[in-house]
Amino acid sequence: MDWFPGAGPLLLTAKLAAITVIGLLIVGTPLAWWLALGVQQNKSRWHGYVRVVVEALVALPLVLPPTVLGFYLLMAMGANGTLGQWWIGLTGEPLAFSFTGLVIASMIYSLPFVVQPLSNAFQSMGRDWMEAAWSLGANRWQTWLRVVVPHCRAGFLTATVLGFAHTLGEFGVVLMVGGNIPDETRVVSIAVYDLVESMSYGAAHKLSLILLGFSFLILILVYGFNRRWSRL
Amino acid sequence: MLVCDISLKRDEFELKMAFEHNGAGVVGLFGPSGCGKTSFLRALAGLEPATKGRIVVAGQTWQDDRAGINLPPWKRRLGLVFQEHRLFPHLNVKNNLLFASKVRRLSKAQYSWPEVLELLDLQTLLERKPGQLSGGESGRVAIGRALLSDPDILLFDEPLSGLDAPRRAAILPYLERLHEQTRIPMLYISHQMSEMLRLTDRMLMLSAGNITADGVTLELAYQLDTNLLSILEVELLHWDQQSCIASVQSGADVLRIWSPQRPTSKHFRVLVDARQVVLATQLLEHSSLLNQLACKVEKVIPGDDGLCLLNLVGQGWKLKSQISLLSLQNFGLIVGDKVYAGVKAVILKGN
Repeated sequence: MDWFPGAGPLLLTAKLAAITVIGLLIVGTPLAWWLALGVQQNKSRWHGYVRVVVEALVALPLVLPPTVLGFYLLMAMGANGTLGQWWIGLTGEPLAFSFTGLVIASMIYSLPFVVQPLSNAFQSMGRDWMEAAWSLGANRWQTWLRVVVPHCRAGFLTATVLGFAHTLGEFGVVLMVGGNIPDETRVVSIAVYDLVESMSYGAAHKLSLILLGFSFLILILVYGFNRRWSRL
Repeated sequence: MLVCDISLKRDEFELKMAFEHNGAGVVGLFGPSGCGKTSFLRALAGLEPATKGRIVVAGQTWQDDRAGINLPPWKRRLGLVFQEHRLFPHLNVKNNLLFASKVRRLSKAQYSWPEVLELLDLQTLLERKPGQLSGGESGRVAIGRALLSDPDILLFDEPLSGLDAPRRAAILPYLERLHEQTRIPMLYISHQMSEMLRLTDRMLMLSAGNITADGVTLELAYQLDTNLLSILEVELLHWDQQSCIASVQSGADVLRIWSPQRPTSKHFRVLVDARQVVLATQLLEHSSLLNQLACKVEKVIPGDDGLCLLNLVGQGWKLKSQISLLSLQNFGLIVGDKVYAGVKAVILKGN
């Protein structure tokens, strides 16, 4: 990667964001579904309380300073932390300051950006169309593929892009949990910080500009598609 | 064929319904909003998990608590026409109609594709999205979609209630056509007596979650003291294009009614409002009335508003007439009297 000092961090950032988003869609979709539609079916009061607590937990990364979140994650993932010890027992490797640790941290950090658009999409869809699909003979899986996903595609797109873009921009959590290991945890935001610290303004400019342009472009695409898809 | 004996408890409300439908004709569920009509349809469809009891449709057990059977909604072969129609907004009309045949992998249904298109006049709508349909059009698509799912029973949840009078009038003829050539058992729920009278053969009256009356629609409506509508079941004898007058046979009598178009079928129902039926003790010679039918007063129901309702029995038909208490006293009419019922040629349809 000697042709451009930013190539390594750029690739690493893209890889981290992609894996994080895929993981979040897998974990976040059922969670968002439960938050949006799960409670109506089971009307017990206990369920309502749990929902409120889970909702608050999901939103927590929105308000916490990334360093605070990163600090707690570091405690958990460190060699003495519960998660860290379990991971060492499982794989023999430490979790903190590794790419895997970074993925887990990013998933927690970007969770609300994936769960909230999905949850909103499911909620605004409601149960009406699912019931219609069931009455026409579609089982849960067919209803999911033929009705829910197409109906909520704008929500899925927003969740994917916001999750990706937000992971690109993370700094505080990475600094705490990942450190600055080339090709392992040295993502673009850290690299820019490093370059500025070492007065390499030219390289910092290049890297920053790439990130700026890219982020702007994908947001334009999202808002464009959302506009189009909202006119069904 | 439908056999059901179910109960559904929700907060303060308990629905208890037990009846059989042998499959011939349309069964109407009539009652005010909140009486449990919609909950009952949802329970049949498997959309109310708290439902207890037994449901058997066309020989297949959908639910039987004792045998531990409770089929999920998608395994119950029913066509449900929702009140709000619920067409999928992301699919065009054609794909809405084909939805069931795709997910159920149907090769052949009771109602074929061309037949449904013709029955409901859907040909010109196929490429449109649900958002581009009028209320009446989307109702027709919803009915077609349910028919094409090859159901063993067809359920209608007030499909006309969200529509204004002209749109209702635009769908009713299609429902009447469906009623005439019904091949599958149908349940139709509504709080409009006029819809019950025009579309159903048997009526269950519901109140607070219970069946309070069950019988032949026309008879039940006739016996209901608060109802002003009655039906003449007629056979078309002749239609004159120039005068727009149709001669029809009802029981032993022949009536002439105004009909701007040739009636589409030989047998049909004419809705008569009691306020449009004039009574006379002898034939009127100089009047615009085209129809004067001899009949007997069977029941007098005095109201507290200066009006009264009379049940009349003719030769093979029954009507109601609303007159003022003053007229009743002037005539001295009592049960058993012979009278002539004057029915105008122009008979208002609808509500």
